[in-house]
Amino acid sequence: MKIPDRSKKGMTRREFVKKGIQGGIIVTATPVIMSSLLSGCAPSPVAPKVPWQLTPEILQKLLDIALSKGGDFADIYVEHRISTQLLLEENLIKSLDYGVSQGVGIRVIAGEEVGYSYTDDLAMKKLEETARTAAYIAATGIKPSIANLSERSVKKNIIVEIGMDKVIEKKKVLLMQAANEAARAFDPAVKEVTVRYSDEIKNVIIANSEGRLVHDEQPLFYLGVSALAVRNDVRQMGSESLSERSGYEVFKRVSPADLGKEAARQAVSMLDAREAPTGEMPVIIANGWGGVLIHEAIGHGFEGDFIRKKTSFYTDKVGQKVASEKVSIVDDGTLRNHRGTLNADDEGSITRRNILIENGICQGFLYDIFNAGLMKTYSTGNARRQSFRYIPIPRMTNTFMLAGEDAAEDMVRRTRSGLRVRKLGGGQVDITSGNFVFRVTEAYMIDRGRTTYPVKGATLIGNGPEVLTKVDMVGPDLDYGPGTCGKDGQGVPCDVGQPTVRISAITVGGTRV
Amino acid sequence: MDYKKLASKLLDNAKKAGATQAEVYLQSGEELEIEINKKKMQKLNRAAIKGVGLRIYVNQKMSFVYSSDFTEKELDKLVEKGVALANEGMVDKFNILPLPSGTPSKLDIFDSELANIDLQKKIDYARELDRLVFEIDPRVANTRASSYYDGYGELIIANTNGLMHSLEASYCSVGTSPVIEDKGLKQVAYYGTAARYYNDIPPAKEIAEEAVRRASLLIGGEKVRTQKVPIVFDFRVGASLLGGILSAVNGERVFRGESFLVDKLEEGIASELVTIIDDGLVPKGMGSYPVDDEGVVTSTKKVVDKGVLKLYLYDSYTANKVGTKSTGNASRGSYSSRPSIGPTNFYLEKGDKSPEEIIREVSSGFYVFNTMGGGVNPVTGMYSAGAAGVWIRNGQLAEPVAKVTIAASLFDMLKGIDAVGNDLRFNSRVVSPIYRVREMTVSGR
Repeated sequence: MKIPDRSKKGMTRREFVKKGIQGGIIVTATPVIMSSLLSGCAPSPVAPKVPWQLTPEILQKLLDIALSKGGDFADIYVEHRISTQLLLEENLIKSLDYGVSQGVGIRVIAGEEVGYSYTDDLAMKKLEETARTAAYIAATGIKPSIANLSERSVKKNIIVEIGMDKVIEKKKVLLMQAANEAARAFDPAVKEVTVRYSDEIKNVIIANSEGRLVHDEQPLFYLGVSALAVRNDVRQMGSESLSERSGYEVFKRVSPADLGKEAARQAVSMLDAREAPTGEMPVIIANGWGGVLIHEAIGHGFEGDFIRKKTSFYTDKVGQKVASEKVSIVDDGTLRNHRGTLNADDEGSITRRNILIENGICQGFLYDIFNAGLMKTYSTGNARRQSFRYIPIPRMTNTFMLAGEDAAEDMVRRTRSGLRVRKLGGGQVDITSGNFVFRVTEAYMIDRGRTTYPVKGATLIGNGPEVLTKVDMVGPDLDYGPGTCGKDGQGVPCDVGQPTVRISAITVGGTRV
Repeated sequence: MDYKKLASKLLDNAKKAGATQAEVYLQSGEELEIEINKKKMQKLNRAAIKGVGLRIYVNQKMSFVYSSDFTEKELDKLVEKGVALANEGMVDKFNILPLPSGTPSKLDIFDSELANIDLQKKIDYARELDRLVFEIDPRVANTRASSYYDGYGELIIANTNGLMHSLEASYCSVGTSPVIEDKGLKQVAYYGTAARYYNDIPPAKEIAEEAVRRASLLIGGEKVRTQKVPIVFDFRVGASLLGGILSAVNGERVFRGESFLVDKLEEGIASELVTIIDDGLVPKGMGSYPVDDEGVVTSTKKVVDKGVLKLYLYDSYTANKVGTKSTGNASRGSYSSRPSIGPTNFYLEKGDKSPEEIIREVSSGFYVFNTMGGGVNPVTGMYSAGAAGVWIRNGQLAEPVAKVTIAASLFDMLKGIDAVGNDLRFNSRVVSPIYRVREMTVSGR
């Protein structure tokens, strides 16, 4: 349950596997458009020769094998992903990386048990073997009925004008250089700048034993800048990123130079930071990325697997007051072109706007097919997976607090002594207790209603459900920020969001007693 | 398929396509994941993995491409794409691939029997582990999961300088996360371990007992008042702090000025009790490999010797930039990523005190079992994290503590280490014995 730092490697207990599971596959010069793989769809003009023959007939046959030993449900996830990554460091483009991965994951559900197997080898023999492995957990021997596959069209929440995959590398390099130069020009204290660019285009086919057949395309890009500022042996870093499921047209709206400047501004402004205070105090958290606190401390507790296993604080709380009346929280997978948006989730269910908390009252949870089935409810379109190598689990998409009416300036004016957090770092939550911890990367002390000096090295610690009851002011300025959410070793892209909020009391952990 | 031959062929093809230098990193293996929750198979996953990553250089311009499709046609395309991309890059005069040098050690890192052990036996281990946690303490209401994972595989690293290494490695790991419920309170704790060989995995009972013990020690933790006290770091938390030091001695970070340990070589940065070692040759170590992830022979190195910083860690590229030699610390996430600098077995050398002694010597202090969020900032050298554990009163473990933070500057922490335990185990890449820091700020009420 954490939004990880880039520097931290994943789970050490699976060291060797880590070396294998992130990989990918073939290289083709242009993206494969999977619709052309499905009978009845005209091949797209840009589609090259496709190396697979995964027709509905073949998918149907694999579902048949998967359920041959019994079980309640089976599904197949076919993925093809092309990715590009560019790295600019020390004013140089250090590397151009390119890879294409493809694979198929087959899952069988029997009651509460899940069998799963995947393959990156798409020979028919391998696919059949994969289906048989997934069937291992089922033992009734009574084959359930399997519906005929019929294709389902999905509403388009992702609309791209100029796909990044069609933009030449040189243009991407220009974007990176603009960010790099702006960061360096911001202040002489800026000593080093790193710019990372990546894009991917993922095509998926999802088929299940209830007859669902969906294919979809999921583009995504990321442009991130980090800047190091050094003065008198004091070092601070700042970072800013942009990530959407948009195309090149996004740069009509957002300038890479602004990202560079913002990263530099954060680093430079923290050079003068003093030691952070310690103890309980009111905290104002800025809009946008600050919503990561809601994602971690609240959002995870609404995920259907924790609800089913009764390990979440919010288990059995629907209809009860769980937050201050000012708080309404939504998970919305349909926001146009946002990083966490999907047309259909990774089980092929249509994404939607799910209300988690409305005016302080708990409304409902986020489900995938597996957990919804066991809870006698329906999927909310929140099944997600990192890749074909992982089973889908209930996850957030774009999760945010709705806007209120309290102006940010009023919040500061009405705070006698407290902390104004302009940027939060990563954080983590224990779902069972709801306890969370967040690193603060940019913050200022508030003294008698005015913002004063910056402070460093602070963390926010508290209990999610408790903090929600202490939100006493909510601003009108809802904004979003991109992140990668980790759970069960799987990372998925998501957006967090919130307006500026004030929490009347939260523990700040610093070094100044 | 003979993967050594395939690797050689890829290098030849890269040269024919216009590469001035090239490197192949080829992996193949199998993995297994079993997760049990309340007698149910929550997850059974078996899969084969293979893939190849190529670093391709054209006149010191670099690209990186990867694939898991080993058909001739696709691999030809891969090489062509790599050369075309390298041509679009920029010249970095420090780009370099290692030369063959030294003799790799023979290490016990591959359990050739692992593949032959019956799947049912592995499933039974996880089932027993899950059953035992409920049996040991009736307050256990659930488990997040009780797991058995293993994997094994082959790795080939070759480059156009004539370097060619192949090795085999394996691992098994087990763990469980019991959730205890008592008087309306809930507490989860994880405990697990890993080994290279199946036979080195401890009995399920040992894992189950320790996991339940941890959950029952922590349940009902509350804030303490803000104060400065001695802190005892449990081995897992100690290792996470060590991970922060690891980032700060990363030669690339140091070169770029993004480390609080810049310009600190030969200076005292920690107490004399602190010796930190990076050792690729630890018998059966989880980070032991005869060569690193670009084929440089690994060795045993002191990073900090009795408190004095001795060494930054390098791969070939960064070493070349700084004008030194690789320390054998090139590391990759998988075949689909380029190497960067990482650990082999990175650890704090064990001391002479038992964990009990270290606790007994504390009149009032905090024994930290878990930390959350935050951690070491390798740039500024500040440490802060949320913490949970048990208060120590008059040398005895007393009441549970949670929802507090601990914070200090890393220099103060390292210099304040006044006891190191003798309980070091190599069950992960970064490991630590228990140790004690003289004084840190605990922020609570």
